[in-house]
Amino acid sequence: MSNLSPSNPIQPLSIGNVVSASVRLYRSNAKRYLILVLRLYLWSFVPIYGWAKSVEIAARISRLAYQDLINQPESLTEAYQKTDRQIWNFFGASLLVGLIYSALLMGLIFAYFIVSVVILFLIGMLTGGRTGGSELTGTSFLIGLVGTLLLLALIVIAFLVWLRVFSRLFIFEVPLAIEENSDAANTIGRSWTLTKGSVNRIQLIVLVAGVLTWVLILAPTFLVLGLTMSILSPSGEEPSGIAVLLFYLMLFLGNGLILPFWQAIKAVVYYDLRSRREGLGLELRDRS
Amino acid sequence: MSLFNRIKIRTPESVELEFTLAGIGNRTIALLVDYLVWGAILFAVLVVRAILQFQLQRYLGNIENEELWLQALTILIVFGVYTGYFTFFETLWQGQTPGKRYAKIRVIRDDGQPVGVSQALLRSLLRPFDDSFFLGALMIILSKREKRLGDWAAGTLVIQEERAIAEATFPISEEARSLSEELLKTTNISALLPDDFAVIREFLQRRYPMDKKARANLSSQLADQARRLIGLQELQFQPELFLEAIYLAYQQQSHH
Repeated sequence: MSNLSPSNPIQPLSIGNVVSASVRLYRSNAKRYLILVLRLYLWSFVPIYGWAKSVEIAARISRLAYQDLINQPESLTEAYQKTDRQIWNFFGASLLVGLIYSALLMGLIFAYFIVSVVILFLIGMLTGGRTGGSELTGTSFLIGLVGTLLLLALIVIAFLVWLRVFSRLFIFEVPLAIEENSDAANTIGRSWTLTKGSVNRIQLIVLVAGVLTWVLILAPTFLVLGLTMSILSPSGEEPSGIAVLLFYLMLFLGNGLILPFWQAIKAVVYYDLRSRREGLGLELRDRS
Repeated sequence: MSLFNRIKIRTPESVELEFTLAGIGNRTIALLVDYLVWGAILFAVLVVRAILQFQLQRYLGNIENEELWLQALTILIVFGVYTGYFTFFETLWQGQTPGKRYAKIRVIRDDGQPVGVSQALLRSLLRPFDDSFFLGALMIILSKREKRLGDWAAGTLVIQEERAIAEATFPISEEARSLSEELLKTTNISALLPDDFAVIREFLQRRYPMDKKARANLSSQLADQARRLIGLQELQFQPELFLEAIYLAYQQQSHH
């Protein structure tokens, strides 16, 4: 049986509970997850193979979290055996997602180009070689204004489209790490179908988790930085090399600390979506 | 691992109660909403203050150190609205603020009783300390009972409101009604346990947003399991129809 809601164990999770559950998962598995993050960081210095490995390790953290959620916890070795053989699929899936985002960007640039050309063309038509004349400058000013508004609207629309796609692809690597017989294209399709109708929920989850991320990284980072800065470079002087180095080190460290949290979030979102969209955990117990 | 942080507490009457702690996610949501509402209230109050100030200056003329007085007044107002907001709502709504209501969480005392003015006041007086360097958030994440400084001082807990199971609202076809009569006569519906009934009910309630293929798979799987439980040889009905009929039959059977 799954354990989705305290009062009713088979109900889907609320947004707050998705975030809390991820924090709890991270808290009780911190050591295992952080070992994996260390490996991920080391692999990320190796081109191609190491990058593929990094994606795989991040997804493995999600798998470990998910197995915990369905009460079938796995050891690091067990999870490794399941995800390691998919390493090139993880790489392929990340490439595909990269391509999707690039295509979106190209689309935006193209639309921007078209709109600009049309506006310039219209202004050119109206002024048509003639110069001067206050009426004409009035109309071209109007067109310019409408054009600027159009371009602004385009950017807003592009952002909304991006946000939608981001939400639909939010868990793209998780199905590949958990489901049997999945591949690079398949896992993206799974993320797409599972998140259908849940875009707003996912955005709110990301917002709340994002706030917590800032709280957890920012607070310690500023504390440590403020203290060391005041010791290393007394008032007025430029920040010393050590301080700058320390800043990047803190960033690196903070990012590593937060990564398992986000992988846990993805695992809980995946678990919750499967319960909503596929009725995960709904079964009559076999009493024979 | 359990998704929720469940705790048991003993009331002064020695009754043991079980609660689910609110969790950092719900508390963050509550705080975000509260700061939005609180900001709006503060804005309104400061606007009123500005209007009053304008009027006062006209009547009173110049006072010595006018700027300082007004600054002091502003600080007092901000402080008053800040502490007042949380104290007012937590006392009036028995441990809830607008944000907590939205997130469906509630403050209670360590012994399970509702909070009073003194607890609410202590919690809101210590809130600035909890907010600085996000100390409160860290304490909630790291401590077993999810207490921030204000909770320690006031002796309070923040819990999730237990929601009663909502009444079933799904439509049931006419065919299922006649089929349920038949099932009651010919099969052993009483072999179903309340847990089984709950699962079937849950499926019927939640089937509409489900993925088409997954829904078809799950319904035939559940129907097959249910068929075996009530001792039916084979299934000649559409799975969801059959499950609806079982749902009705179980209800009728348990009424007798």
